[in-house]
Amino acid sequence: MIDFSQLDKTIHEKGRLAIMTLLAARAGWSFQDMKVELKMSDGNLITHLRTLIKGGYVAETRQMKTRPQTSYALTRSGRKAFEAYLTLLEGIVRSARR
Amino acid sequence: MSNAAHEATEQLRAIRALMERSTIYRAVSAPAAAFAGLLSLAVSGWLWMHREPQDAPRPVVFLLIWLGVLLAASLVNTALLYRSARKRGEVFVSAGMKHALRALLPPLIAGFIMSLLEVNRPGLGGLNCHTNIAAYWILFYGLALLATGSFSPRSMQALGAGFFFFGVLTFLPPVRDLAGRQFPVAVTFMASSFGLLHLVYAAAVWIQDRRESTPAGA
Repeated sequence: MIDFSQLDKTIHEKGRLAIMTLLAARAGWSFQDMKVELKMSDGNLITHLRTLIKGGYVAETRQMKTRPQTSYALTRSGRKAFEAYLTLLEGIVRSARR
Repeated sequence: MSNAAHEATEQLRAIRALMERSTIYRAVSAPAAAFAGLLSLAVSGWLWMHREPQDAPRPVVFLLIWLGVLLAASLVNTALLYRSARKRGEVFVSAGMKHALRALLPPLIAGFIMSLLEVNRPGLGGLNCHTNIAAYWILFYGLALLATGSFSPRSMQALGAGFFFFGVLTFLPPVRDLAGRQFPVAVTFMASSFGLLHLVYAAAVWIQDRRESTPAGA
């Protein structure tokens, strides 16, 4: 029986899941754009991003344009973990339908 | 359904909604397309009444008239996008809008430059000028819409494809040979593309929205 205890705890948190979803949809989100899209505070967003970077799921790229800009993208293991997370959710739904 | 399955379903729905919201951006709203279509048809109708060679506006005036149409349609589109973003509690200049502008602007600017060069081309005395201006506008507008393809809804991609194919058609020799009287042909090109295609797009989006907002079985 598949259940929620098997879900990746790093991803299975509302804020971090939203970040992972955005980055899975399109790479190269800037901090500002992500903040606006997710309606998160600076502190909240940076905390979640740090957790995801520490877990090896998200990579940070700093660029020097007219002003320093940081963008974020999923790493290979981040994408794999996200896909595994979705597969598990789908598995839970499927097993309930049987 | 168990609690876990219900929660998983909700989670998947939220993920899907966020993915769609962050990746799909409709740069041309349906009401603005309807406005652009009707305005284009009205302007084309007025130009059609001046189709005789002695009445036809010079190419530069033809270009300025359509620039006015573009400006009016863009203003309406901007106002509608702003209202819709406010209604949903989202920011107006979103990541989606920035993406859309980055995709739309280069082909639009290129098309405008090509038509400016056409107007200023010396020694042709306006030969092919009106039809060339119309053909560049149609083709490059189509290219601009197609450039948003990776994040625009299917209806907008179809609109872009429609403009693109129509634009290519206007450059084909058999169509060119038909263009004996340049000005009426150019007006017909603009009415069929910026007029009719926009109206078809607006109607398609409206029908789709109605279908999606009608509950199943209603």
